[in-house]
Amino acid sequence: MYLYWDQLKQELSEQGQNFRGRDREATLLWMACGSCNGESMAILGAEGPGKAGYNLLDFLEDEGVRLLWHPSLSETSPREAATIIARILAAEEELAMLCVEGSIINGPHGSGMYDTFDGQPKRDIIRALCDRAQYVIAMGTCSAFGGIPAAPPNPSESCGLQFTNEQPGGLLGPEWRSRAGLPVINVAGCPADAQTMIKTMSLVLAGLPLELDKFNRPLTVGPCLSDGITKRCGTAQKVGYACVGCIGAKFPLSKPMFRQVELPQRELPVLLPPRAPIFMIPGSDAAGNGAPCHG
Amino acid sequence: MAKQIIKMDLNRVEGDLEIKLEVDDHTVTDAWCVGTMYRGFEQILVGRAPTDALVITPRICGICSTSQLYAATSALEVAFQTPLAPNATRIRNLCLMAEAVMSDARHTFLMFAPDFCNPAYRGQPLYGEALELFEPPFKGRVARETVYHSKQILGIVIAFGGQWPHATYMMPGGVTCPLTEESLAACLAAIDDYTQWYEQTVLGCRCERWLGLNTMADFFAWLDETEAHRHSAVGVFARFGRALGLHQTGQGTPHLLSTGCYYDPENWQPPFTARQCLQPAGFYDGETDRIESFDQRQVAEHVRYSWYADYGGGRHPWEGETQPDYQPDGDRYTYAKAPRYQDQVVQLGPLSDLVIAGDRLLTSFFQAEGANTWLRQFTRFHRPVSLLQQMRRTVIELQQHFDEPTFIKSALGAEGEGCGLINASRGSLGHWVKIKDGRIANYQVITPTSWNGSPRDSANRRGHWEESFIGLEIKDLDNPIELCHVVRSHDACLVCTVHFVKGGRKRTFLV
Repeated sequence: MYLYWDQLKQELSEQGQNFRGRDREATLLWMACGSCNGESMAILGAEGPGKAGYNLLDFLEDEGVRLLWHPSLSETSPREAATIIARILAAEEELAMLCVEGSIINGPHGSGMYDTFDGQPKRDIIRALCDRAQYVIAMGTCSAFGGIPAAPPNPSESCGLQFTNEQPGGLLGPEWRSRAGLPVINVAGCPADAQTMIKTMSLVLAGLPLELDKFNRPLTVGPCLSDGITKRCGTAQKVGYACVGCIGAKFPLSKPMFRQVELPQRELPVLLPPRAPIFMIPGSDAAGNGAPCHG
Repeated sequence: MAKQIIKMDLNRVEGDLEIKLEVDDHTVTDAWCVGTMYRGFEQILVGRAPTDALVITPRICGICSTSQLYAATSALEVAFQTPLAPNATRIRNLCLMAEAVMSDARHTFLMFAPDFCNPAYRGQPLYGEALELFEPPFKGRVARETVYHSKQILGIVIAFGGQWPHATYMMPGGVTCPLTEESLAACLAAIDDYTQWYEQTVLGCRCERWLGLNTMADFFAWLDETEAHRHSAVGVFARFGRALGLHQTGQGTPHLLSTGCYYDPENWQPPFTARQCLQPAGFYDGETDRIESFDQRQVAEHVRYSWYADYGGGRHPWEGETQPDYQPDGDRYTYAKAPRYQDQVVQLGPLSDLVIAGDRLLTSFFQAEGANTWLRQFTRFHRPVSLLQQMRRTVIELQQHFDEPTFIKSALGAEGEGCGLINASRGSLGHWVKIKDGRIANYQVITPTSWNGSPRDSANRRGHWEESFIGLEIKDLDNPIELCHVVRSHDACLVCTVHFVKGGRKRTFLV
């Protein structure tokens, strides 16, 4: 999958299909709402082939991405950050990608005051920013669908950016489209996989037509530890508990989620290095009892 | 200048923090820590299957999810009196240590040290050197290397849990993953690589040499010994930080608390009464200068100044309630509760953990200068050295016990109450659970930031952070860098305070 991706990118760059405005730097704004900061932490762990790795920093440099602001990683002072947001909203600064992590919090009683920014409900600022962005990417299941904070009884009245669990419509209506004409791109996962986040942003920057499923998840999204071919969660087989369905729109289900899958001690096949092509034997009984992860 | 009340927001904490200060000229005379985000994890857990806590609680926090998982599993084990496999305790300890080592580096080099590059310090002799090492974002050499190496050490968690953060590989009785030669080899390789980097870049000497430093005098002699020591990351931090007088700010409450961590694998079994930990628990009473034993029954949470339905006074977490009640007017000001130990305001964190555990170098500094901004951060340079040694020892123990199981099967009960206490990277973390009819009847989490960033309690006593700001001199109210150092030395983690807030970013003059 990794090679395939690189080839695809190569071909496209040869065809000169580039992100609109790529003579300039692309800008990235990262906002955290009702989040655990898991995606921010996960993306620091992004890696690619080789000891040198291909990490978040390489991505920013190679793709010519200017990070406007990130709540945990930027040195930019809060005051400057507020200024940057104001500039984007006033259309003085172009926003190529808006990445949001964490659920959209509407409580208490629909006021949004459980999560505020500059004294305003953060969801109002996010909504305004969405309308300025070429692309809006929901990083993780919380910002895509609501995720854990939206689990019953949903004390914070959380929803996702464009879904509320599996129902279309969240902070934004189902018909909403970003300036590039796409719905919110849902990079689901809990947390979203680091490499998937980076690949998806690269795809977007390359101006590739993104194929989205019915939950607006790009095809880059797969279950944890999956081989990328069968899209079957590898957690049961490799770690010993059943897939909890974290890329699904209904995650977390209101039924018992934890189920141990007992593995024979020591007779486990040797794990292959990550991202090497794995040819799974169909019907192999160890992999989550064959239940696909898609919610 | 007359007294004024100002509101300051900080970035680069995990989750955001709003601090309201009363400033007389440039000196802080009063402070309020405001938590502005509420997610309601405790309400989500009630009524669910007990083992759902293993899936849901790690997702409280993306940076210490292993700690949350360990605490949740322990709480269930205590509630159900589950026998557990000693190898599982070894694997849990190993993963928790790896998470602490990762967190110490990311916090120090991506969150704390960038403040040394603040324009306010342009005139400092070490400014150029600080830029070279720590310049944000990721421009400084050490900052860049931290991204790579902190990821590598998490290979240990990934070897057992498959992913980081948010894996659920622990369960009552053990861990879900088998022990393999491959996973042990991956752990040893990760420890070796990290140790090498740590010696070359962070310390400027071998770990063995560092561990021979027992007193404050030893440390300063070491610092002057070679250029490699002076220009290492810890050398630059130590000199720059002391030049700024960080060892004289941010004292806060004199009482320290650590609930203990890293259970002794062979002895941590039902009835779980003797808590034998490699890092022992204790309460340091700042008035008597004595370390007393820790009793979890002495923990109580107050909500007098928090946006929760008030129950009057303090309550032990088993009896605790989390019923949000947002009131914009009135004297309540935060979603954080106010935990107290033996009715005292306490501070938690790696410094508390290690002073209570009897670490000689830190105790020497602590006795001379008390808890302070510099020493709290210095602890995060010091702690990984001994953790790396302990991690290697744990891997060797696992090799020696290779043929033993990592899981013992037993039926879980339908009733019980338990608490799981461990030290997360930023201080002691506790989960308290009550189970009735096979369902969670009550679940309360007290995180280290709940303690440190707590609001006033029923007796109107300030929380530790609030107290630690008093008397602080802020030269430029538009660039409150002195305040940033104090807050960051606690590794403020507001997302994990479960009930905490995320604030706005604009500083507003309220008066």
